Amino acid sequence: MDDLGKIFEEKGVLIDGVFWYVKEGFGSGARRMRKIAHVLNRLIDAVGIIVFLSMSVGAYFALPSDRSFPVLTEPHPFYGWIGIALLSLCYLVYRRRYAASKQLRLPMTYEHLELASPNGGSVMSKTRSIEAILTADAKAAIEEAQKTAEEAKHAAVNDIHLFVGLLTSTDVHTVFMRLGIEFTQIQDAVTRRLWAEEAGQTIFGSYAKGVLADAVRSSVEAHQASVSGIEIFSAVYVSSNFLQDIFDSIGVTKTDIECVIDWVRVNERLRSRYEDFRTAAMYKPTKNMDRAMTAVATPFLDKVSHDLTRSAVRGALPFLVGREREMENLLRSIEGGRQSIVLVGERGVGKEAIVAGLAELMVEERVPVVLQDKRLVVLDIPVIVSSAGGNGAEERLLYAMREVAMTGNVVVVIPNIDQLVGTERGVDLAAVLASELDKGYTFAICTTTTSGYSAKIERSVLGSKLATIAVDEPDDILAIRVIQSQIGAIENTHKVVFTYQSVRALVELSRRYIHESFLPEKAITLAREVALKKGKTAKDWVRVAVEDIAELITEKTHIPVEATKEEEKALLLNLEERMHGRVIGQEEAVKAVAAALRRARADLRSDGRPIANFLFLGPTGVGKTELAKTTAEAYFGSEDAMIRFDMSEYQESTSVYKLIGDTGNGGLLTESVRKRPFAIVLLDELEKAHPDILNLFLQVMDDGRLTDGAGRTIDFTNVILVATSNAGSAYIQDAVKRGDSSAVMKEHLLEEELKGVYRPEFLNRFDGVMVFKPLSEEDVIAITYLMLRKVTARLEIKGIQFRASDDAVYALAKKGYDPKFGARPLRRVIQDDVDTAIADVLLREDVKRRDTIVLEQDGVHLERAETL
Amino acid sequence: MQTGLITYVVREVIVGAVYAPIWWYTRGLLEAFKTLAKWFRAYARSLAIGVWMKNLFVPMYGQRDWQSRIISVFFRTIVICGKSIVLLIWACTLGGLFVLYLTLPIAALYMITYHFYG
Repeated sequence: MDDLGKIFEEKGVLIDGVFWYVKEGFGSGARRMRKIAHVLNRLIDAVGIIVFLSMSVGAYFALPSDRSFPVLTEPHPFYGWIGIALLSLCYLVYRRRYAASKQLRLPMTYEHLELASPNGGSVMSKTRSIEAILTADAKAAIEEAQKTAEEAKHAAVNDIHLFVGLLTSTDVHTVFMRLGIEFTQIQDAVTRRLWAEEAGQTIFGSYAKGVLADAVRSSVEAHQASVSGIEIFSAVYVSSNFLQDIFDSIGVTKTDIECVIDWVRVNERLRSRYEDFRTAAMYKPTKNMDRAMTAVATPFLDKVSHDLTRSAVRGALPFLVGREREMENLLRSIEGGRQSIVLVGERGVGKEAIVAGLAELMVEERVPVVLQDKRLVVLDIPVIVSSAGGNGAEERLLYAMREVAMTGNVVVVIPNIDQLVGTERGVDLAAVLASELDKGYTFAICTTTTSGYSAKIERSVLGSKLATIAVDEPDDILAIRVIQSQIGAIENTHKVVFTYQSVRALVELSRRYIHESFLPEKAITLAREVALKKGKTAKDWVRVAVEDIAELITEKTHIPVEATKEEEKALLLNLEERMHGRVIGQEEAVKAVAAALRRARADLRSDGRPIANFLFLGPTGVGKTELAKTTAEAYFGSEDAMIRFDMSEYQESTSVYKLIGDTGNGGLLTESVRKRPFAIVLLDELEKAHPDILNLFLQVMDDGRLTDGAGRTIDFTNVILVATSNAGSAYIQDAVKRGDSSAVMKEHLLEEELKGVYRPEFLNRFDGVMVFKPLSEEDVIAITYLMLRKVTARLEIKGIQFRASDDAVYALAKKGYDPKFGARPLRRVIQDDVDTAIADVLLREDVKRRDTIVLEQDGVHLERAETL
Repeated sequence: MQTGLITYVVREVIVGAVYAPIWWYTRGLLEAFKTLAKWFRAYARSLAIGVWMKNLFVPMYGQRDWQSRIISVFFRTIVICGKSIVLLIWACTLGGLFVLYLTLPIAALYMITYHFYG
């Protein structure tokens, strides 16, 4: 087989007709040769420099004694020495440039790049060695891999050797650092794997060559000139099940690794983009004048605006990440017909970032002709409107726009354009701006929020003048990329390091628990706050953990976000017991509620719905509200985390507006949940509410959100919705007397009793319909004990002890129980018979600390404590 | 290994020394020309003479009355001439550097032969 035939058999990549493959390999011979070549090159360079210097010195000493320059036309050794020095200089220049020309680069052709794995016999005009396009860091890593295999006398360089070799690469260090893991976590498994490798004469076999070929391929696809350590790491990881398993075993998934690799790549790309940008920025004028000096001084405009292109030249604007579609739309609209534009999106989704991105493109002049050699100027609307209470705002805007017209090199940006519409005192700046835009001498790029657009712009005169470009909240992946591009500054300021997991947590947790603002801004704000907090805890660099972010969210929202800790696990497992400490009987209801809470806390609930929707059915006074309160305490940490509505107050269809509000007024329900998104929403006596209100809750139970009168979407995904209802109480009482089972009772209730009260689709939305049975005599006695415990607690504060005899408790229970009202009268009985009697004793007798008040069937007595 | 090393040293030192003059007047020459052309273009871009030419009849500072237009054309012509002269000086400097590149090895060789053996 000829040489070309051998090459065909090699693993490699065919790029535009050039075949890249591992030529020399990384064996000890090749390594030594490379080392010797390195030393030799240094040596030759050093000889060249020494010759140059010594010849220069020789020339100096060859000068005549009076140090005057000899005549050039007559032979003189001085010029001979100079000649040798110059020749050695030429040789040094040659060596440097020649070496640089030997450093190969991958083709950077962005289009029509033919990329294929060769199939034997395909036409190849040239071959190139992959070794020549590896970065120094990557080459060192591969050599280390080969060395590891050779020293262990392994038959071939495999995934494990490449991985061990790559540990020397700075890129891979970054990956470990961003994943928040240490090599020691996987060291044992790696060692075991190394032992298990097949022994033999080490070769850089087809597996390793294939990995390098894959790395070359992905580098070309990523438009990189050389192959770095991260590309090889990526190729090894993808090809090795063992590495995937080993990372997975320490909780690092394939997606995590891919995202971190992407992070390293993005940073590298941002760095090279920044260098290109700096070069381009050198040519952008930073004064008000354009290059052709056709512009005019704009003293007034300068006072009421700031120049975004100038900020971009200074490097004060962050790079735009993603948003290609929006930018394309923006440029197309401008190019198409100098159309004014409004970017519509919620606050914090990145409208300003898009405008800043446009400023950067203008600095680089990578924009349509109409934007070239122009300034992007942001009008400060508050400055125009604010002075002297808005008087003269119209004139000021006109004056600024006239300067824009005269100077001709300004494109105006108007942030929050809704501020212009309907300003007080009858001045409508929107009309002024609309008429100026009509004249066609300039166009404007505006921004506004979704609500601002629909409320003020859409139907105003401006609405028809502006083409809308929707800027949606970015998805998680884009938000993560945006944060990754900006986190460096935060890290340096506060001396903290964010791992990939913490960046992901910033996005995921803020999306889930912070509803007032939008991504990516809310996640960046959160990152700043957590960095500030964490940075204060240590003098040196410190890593931000997911727990730190969860803790901060808990502080801000009172939502228990942190992962379930050991002690909390125990609490959750014994939830029923704890709940029975307050709720007597009702085993089934307690069990169902506890199970729902455990599911929610273990993060197994479905997103996009409330944590749980419960319907508590049963007669009055049997513990429905008490169970709701207990749930609030058990899950949300406080009994106060309960938003309670007495639905008998909402019997009219118009009362919907009381709950959700109308334009200008917040609704009782929506505002409470907006302010306290993590709470129990208790709807008492639901059957009394108007059917329209029930429809409202259909949406809440289904989608976990509700739009209020002002058009805001309120999130209900962190509430537990509990509705109580007395409907079917009479049936329940009868059924209990008959001794029907719970299942029979529930079926009958749903099929018969509730049919006329609630629609079937409404009942179907509940995760659980719990039937509360009437209390038995034993239950009431237990409740009496429970209530008396509260009396004990109240007296304990005063240092007085309290005791009740069983007979007295039975008597109270008997007196306080009413089959119609359950245990409700018991509270009044205890108030009348116990509290009042105790108050009498306290007032009548001189009760001292340590004395005991005893409740007997015949009344309350005082037992004096022994004298000390 | 030994042969490889010897081949390498021979290639780098001896062949290198022979190849150097060839490289200097072929690839090196092209590279030098490209570098100087790049410097020229960069400076020309920063002077923006093209922009001034294109806007020769566009009034400066937005002054659109006929007097200003005349003054503007006159002033623009002067500026374009001034900038062209500056660019020409820069081109001459770069041309000088190119000539220096071309003649340096020959001059050096001449100096060695003439002044040592002449």
